[in-house]
Amino acid sequence: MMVAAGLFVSAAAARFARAQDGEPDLTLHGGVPPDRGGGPAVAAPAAIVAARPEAATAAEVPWGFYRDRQGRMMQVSFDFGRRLWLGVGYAPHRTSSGDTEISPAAFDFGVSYDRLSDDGRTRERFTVLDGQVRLHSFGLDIVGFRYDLSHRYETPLLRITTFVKDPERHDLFLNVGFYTEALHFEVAPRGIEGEESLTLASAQGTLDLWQSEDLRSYVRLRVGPGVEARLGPWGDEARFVGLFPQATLEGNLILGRRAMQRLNFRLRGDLLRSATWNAQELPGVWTAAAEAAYEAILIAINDQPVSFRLAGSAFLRDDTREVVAGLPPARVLGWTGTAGIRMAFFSPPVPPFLRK
Amino acid sequence: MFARAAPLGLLALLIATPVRAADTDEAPVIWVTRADGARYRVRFDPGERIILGAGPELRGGGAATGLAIDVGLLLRGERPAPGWDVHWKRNHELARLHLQPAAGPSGAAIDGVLYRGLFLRQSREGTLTLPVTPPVALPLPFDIGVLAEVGHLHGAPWPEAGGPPVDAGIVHGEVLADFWRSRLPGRWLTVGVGGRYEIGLQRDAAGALERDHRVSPMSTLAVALHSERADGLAAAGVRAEASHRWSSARGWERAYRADADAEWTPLAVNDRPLALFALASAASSPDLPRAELSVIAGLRFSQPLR
Repeated sequence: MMVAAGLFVSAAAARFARAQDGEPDLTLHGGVPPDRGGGPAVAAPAAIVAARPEAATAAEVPWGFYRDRQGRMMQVSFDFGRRLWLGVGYAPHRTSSGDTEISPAAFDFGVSYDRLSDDGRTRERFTVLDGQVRLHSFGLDIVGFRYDLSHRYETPLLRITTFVKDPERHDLFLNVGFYTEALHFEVAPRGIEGEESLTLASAQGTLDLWQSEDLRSYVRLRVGPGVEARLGPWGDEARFVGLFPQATLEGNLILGRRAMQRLNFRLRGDLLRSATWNAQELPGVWTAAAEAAYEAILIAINDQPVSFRLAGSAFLRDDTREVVAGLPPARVLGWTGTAGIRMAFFSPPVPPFLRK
Repeated sequence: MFARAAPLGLLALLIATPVRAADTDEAPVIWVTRADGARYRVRFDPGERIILGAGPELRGGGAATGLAIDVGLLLRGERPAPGWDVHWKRNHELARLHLQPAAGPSGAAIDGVLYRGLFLRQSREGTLTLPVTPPVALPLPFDIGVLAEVGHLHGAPWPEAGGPPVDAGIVHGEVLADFWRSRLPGRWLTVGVGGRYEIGLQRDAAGALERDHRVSPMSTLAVALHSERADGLAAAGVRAEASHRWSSARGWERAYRADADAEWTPLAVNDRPLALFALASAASSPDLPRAELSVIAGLRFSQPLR
């Protein structure tokens, strides 16, 4: 089912994020759509930003910048993959006990850096201290370190030749990558107060169902094991719990001709096993979570982008017994919504993508 | 009293210092050669060195007085190339620690940060860009920057039963507007809006650990002024912040903090500066039984790294 959903989403992603194939279009056309058909395979050189002749000076501007009639230069392209951000938002929340909290706020932060290999076929992404702190009531979800890579293979894994009518060759590529996460700390991961979890590490394989040419956008499946330590009262039942496995369908889509919008989504399922020497009973053996976020850059202050962000997440957990007094054993749903702004720093223009 | 006033006095002097050739793109003279050929250093970079200082620390509110140690690694970005348009002034502090080994019967007292980075983006012209087609730029009278801090510890090194609290700052970030826009490194006048997450840890007499999560969701307002002489022989700064924060133990509350520092280098030993320094801080918040005040004044030895 997850694979089917992945195929559907990847088809949709390919449609909506097609603008990211090849170089991001930073050209300002004054309302005239750019003619991208039949263009060269190599992206245009740096002098790409051009406004209506009467609105801009002829002076040379670097890639991703624009110079107005007064000669002022400004950055008009920003890389979502390379930045340090601080944000604040309104974050209503529904706990697993059914209480809806309508007055909380959230403070989020993080650092990300990604890079494309010289041959343009591998993109590595590093993220440090990516987190959100909620207040009223308190909540914390922070990832100490995350690394993943996407790769585009040139050699097909399978070549299938059909001999009906004329012989035809069909290539099957499997764009396999890698994902790892360490020191992921969550307060109330199942929505139960007093529970805390620290995912010590997880290492997972990824399969890109769809990827843009510059590998910024993707839809992928990832599957793999992990180990988390449970802190607080529920740690008395099992201190270490294994994620055997964790399976996730996720996507990162950079949208818009000038790459000023981003859409993320994630569907995750965990099968939990006691990772202690003497296997202990767990209050639930699976959890499921879904997240989606949309971010659009609104303005830039001294070339540092300020964006608006909408996000939502929901989780469902299995409870085979009563872990909270008065809360019946059930599969319990909770959700969080966020609407806020982010300010990012050190975000360079999206570089031109040169096909190799 | 003198130690408390020293940072402010030195700061006023530094601000009044006329901006000379050093506030340009020209490379400054660092070494001077005497008539007999011997060289000696006359200029230091306060932002690029290892520091080791010591001096008596005075604490208000009846707390213990004792010897305090000040250590840390400071790093700073290179000066911009001539003809620059945009330049990031980068100041890093690593393992910056004020330690009072014998703060009383409860043991040592620490105020330290694992990493603090101050990044100020200097441009010849500040603009607010609206990314419409074509983009529109509105002039701004300030530069912009960011302060990032990870791993701050204040109080006792570890919460002990019946002992003093420990404040562990996880992350602190501030969006800054720099109104001074000085080209000289070490000079800024910033107004910042920041967010912070910290945990207050304390054990009661029975040893039970109480945790107080404190979050400031971009609701901290801070003002900072810092200056240093072009030759690096004197530096001073003040910083004040007011925070409207949320505590998991007490709900919404207000907290205030002010810091001041000053340093003056009268001599160098083997081309390594030996300075007089003073640090002062004051804090007031509902989690403190009374307002905290501390002053350190002493000698600081530096190992220049550039």
